[in-house]
Formats: sequence, C-alpha cells, structure tokens
Amino acid sequence: MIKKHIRTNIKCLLLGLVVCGMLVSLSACKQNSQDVSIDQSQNIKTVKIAKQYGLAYAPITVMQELNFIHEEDPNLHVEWVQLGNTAAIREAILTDELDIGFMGIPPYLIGVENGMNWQIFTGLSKAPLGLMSNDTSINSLKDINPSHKIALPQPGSIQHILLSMAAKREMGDPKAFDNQLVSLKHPDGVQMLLAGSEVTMHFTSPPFVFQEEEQGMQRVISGEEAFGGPFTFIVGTLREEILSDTQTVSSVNNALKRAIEYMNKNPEETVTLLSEVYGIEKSLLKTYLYDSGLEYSQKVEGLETFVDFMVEAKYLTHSIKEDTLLWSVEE
Amino acid sequence: MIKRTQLNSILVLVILLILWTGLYFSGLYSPLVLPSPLMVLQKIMYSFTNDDLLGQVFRSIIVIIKGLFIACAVVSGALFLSERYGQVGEGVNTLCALFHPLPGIAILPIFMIWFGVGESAIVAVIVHSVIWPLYLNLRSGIHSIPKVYEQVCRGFDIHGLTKWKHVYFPAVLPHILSGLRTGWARGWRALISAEMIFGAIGGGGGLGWFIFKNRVFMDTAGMFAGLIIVIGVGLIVEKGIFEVIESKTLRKWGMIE
Repeated sequence: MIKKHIRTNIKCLLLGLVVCGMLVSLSACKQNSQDVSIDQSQNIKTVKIAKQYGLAYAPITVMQELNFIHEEDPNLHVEWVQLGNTAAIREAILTDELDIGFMGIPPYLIGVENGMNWQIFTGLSKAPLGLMSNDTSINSLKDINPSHKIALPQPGSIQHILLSMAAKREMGDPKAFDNQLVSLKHPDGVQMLLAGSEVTMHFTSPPFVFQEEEQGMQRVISGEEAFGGPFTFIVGTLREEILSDTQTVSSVNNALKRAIEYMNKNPEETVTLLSEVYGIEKSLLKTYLYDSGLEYSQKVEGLETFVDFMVEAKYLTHSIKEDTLLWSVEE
Repeated sequence: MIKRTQLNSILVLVILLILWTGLYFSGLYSPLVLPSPLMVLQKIMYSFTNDDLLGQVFRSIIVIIKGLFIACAVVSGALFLSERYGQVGEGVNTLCALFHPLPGIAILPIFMIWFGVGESAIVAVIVHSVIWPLYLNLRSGIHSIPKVYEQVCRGFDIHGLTKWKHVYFPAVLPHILSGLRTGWARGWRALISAEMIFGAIGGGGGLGWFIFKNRVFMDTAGMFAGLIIVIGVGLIVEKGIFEVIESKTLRKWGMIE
C-alpha cells in the first residue's frame, strides 16, 4: 500500500519534471525564433509599432497612412499592432511583442522603476488635458468632498499623476483623492460624467475633454495648471533590444519628423486624411487639431519635473537621471 | 494522521512550488514576468500589514454575499411561481436558455449605463451570474425527487411543514449545495472581473482592484499575490463552509460517501 503510494508520488514528480522540461524548451524555441529574425536583419527588418488612436497620436496615424517609414527605409517592414491600453503596450514591450510604443511619461517611468531598460526616443504631442466636472459648485480641488468620484483611465496614468500634482499643491497631499478614483476608459468616462449619476469628475484628454466642454461640463483644473507649466503629453519609447539599432530608430524618427512637418504644412490634407480614420467631421476635426491647444513636437518637455514629483510622492523609489532616459545616436 | 488525499494535495503544491522556483532561478524570464514565490509571499505580508488588503478582501466578500442573497431571494420566488403555475415555469426556462450562456462581464457595459459605476452595477452582474445556474440546479433538484417520497408521505400521513422539512428539503439539499457552489464561484469571478474593469467600489475597492492596481504599477509580485488571495478565499469558503455543511448534513445522513 505505502509502496504503491510512493510509486504514484514518483509518477507525479516525473510528470512535473516533464512539464517543466516542456516549458523550458518552449521558451528556448521562442528565443531561437528571435535569433532568426535578427539573422535576417541584413535584408529585411521588421519593426513592431503600436497603432494608437486619439488626437494626441495623430502623427503616428499620418506616418502610417502615408507610408513614411517605408519611404525612409524600403527594407524596413512595419508591423502595426493594436493594443488596448498603456499597461498592455508596456507589457507587450516587456515581453518582446512590441518594439516601439507611445504613452504618457508617468507609465514609462513606472516601467523604468521596475527594471525595464527602455528609452524615450521622441516626444509626440502636447495636449490640453483637464479635470472636468458636472457639478457647478466645484470650482477648485478644495471644493471636492470624499463622496465625489473622479474617473480617469487608471492609477499611474498621466491623468492620475497630474491630479496628484495638483492635490499636492492645493491640498498638501498627493494621494488626497486616491480613494475616490474610478478607472474608466476615456469614452466610458465621458458617458458616465454626462449621465451625472455616479461620476462627478473626469480627468481626460482631447478629444474627450472638448466633447465634455461642448456639453457644458466645467473645467476644474487644466493639465498645465496641475503640472505648473507646459509638458509633453505623449512620448515614443523603444524596447531595450532595439536601442542599439540606430538605423531602424533613425528611420522611424525621421518618418515621424516628416509626419509632424506634413501636418503643420498641409492642414487641409491632414484633416481630410484623419477625418476618415477617426470618423470625426472635417470642420470639427480642424478646430480640434489646429485651434484648441494641441501641439505636435518631438521635443520632450517636463521629464525631470515628472521624475522629481513621482519620487517625492513615492510613486518611484529612486531618482533617475534624465539623460539615461533619452535615446541618443551615440550609443 | 494525514489522509492520503491530503498528502497528495500537499505533494502537488510542493511540485508546483519547486517548478515555479526552478523557472524563476533558470533566468529564462525577467522577474517582471515571473517573480519568485518569496517575492510574492513578501508582497502578501506587506499588503496585509501596510496596505488595506484585508479590507479589500472583506469588501469583496460583502459584495458577493449581497449578490448571492438577492439571487437566492429571486430564485426562490421564481421557483415557487414556476412550480405553482406551469406557464411561469416554461417562461423562466426560456429566460434561462436565453441568459444563462451570457457571461456577466459581457453585460457589464450595459449595467454600467443602467446602474452607474458603483457597487450596484457589480451586484447586478453577480446576481446575473448566480441566478441562472442556481435556478437550474434547484429546479432539477425538485424534479428529481422520486415520486415514491410523495406516496410514502401520503401513506404515513405526513404533510405541511413536516413534509417539506424532513422529506423534501433533505432530498433537494445536494442540489441546493451544488447550486450555491456554482453560484458562489460564478459570483466571485464576476466580481473580480468587474472590479478590474472599473476600479474602486466604495472606499478602497476590492480584490479585483488590488490586482488591477498592481498591474498598472507593474508590480507583478502584487498581481500574483492577488491571485493567491483569490485562491485562498475560494479554498476557505469551500473547506470552511460548503464541506462543513456537507459533513453535518449529507454525510451524516449517509446521502454521500
């Protein structure tokens, strides 16, 4: 009886070892396939870029629609990957499913904090973010009481960090509102704010912030007021393994530069192109893109302020030097 | 003395732990993808002492209990009516066929519009996840009561409350328990997924929010910690509630081995 028991146990153990072996060989396979794609890199290289929508990402869409990367480097094949949110993009970069992704500075810094060796290679846009409210009695953060719920995409997002910055300045506590957050995607947040039942405020970005303004929502605080000056909303980040591939990164970088120039020089064509992609009516889109505070530029602004604040508010445990975060050709 | 089945469970756990630790130390995966068991354990301890993990577990359980309670009330009403009036029964059966396959999480966006993004939407999802399997289980329980019980009751002149308490209830109890088990499991799943979609309910949110928050701050050990707590609560409910009830009733009555 006992012998039999021991025998079944040993069988279990063996089975476990087999499973373990399979897992290890599976991951070995994965690494092999990567080696192959690097070997082929002399001829045609593939770069995986996250496809993102939203006005702040407009240059990416322009670059994609007009094939600028292909024109920069005909041997560079771009695979456009569709992902849900910032966390998913970061996870994709972490697990080698993505080479280039765009996001706010704070989620990028959280990745650095947790050991991801990735870098910012470009800024993308500045945007008029804002904390919008459906309650006219709320004119500043001091009017917010604990029963008011504040919707934003997720904790750790740029919207959340901006709210914390404002809370620090006006209430003395960066986490003053952390227990009344509701995590909602932008469109859901708009819907909930307009419905007016549960959510009182929504920290959001264009075009949602514009839509809410059109519906009579009032701005409690703007992104710039919260930050204390202008800052880059979206930056482009590179996976560790692609940092040394100067050629690829430069091609994407140049294509992006062309896209931004194109947008600034050809507003009519840009609006025609994007109104189809976004499904926003042309004249409205033109106002959104060119007349509402959105600015496209590769310059990265406000990185140090974000680092300093996030260290101070304990979202980051140690300070990071700005120059280790920015990609440069010398490497 | 430890029973053999328990010994085997422990063995499986040990193997899992060894595999996990082995994979961690093999260096194939970054700790951001697969943290070590120790890191996860430390995170659990830290979250219980420094964060509000206990409160979050507590709030999650309260929400499920609310959902279960409402679901039980609705199901009892529906059962009573459908046993009384055949047409109602057919109607409810049709509803079951329509809505039982619908995952709670698929309905959530609609519930968010109807009930807002608070506890009520989550309770509604739990109620939806629980009522259909509970109803189906109980109904099949009632229908599986052998005809001969009814005849025996008539023969011995047992009726009214006594008949329900001593004959029908014990006969249906296995189905009630399995219905509640399924209900609990589905409610638990609905809660965690709902919380991961729209964050905090009430003050600091529940377990789903705990996992979600750890994801957005890239604390993989925290995500694992959340999973282990979810599994732990599931085990406690199974061993501490369902199995105890079972041993005090069905096992005592000799209805199961």
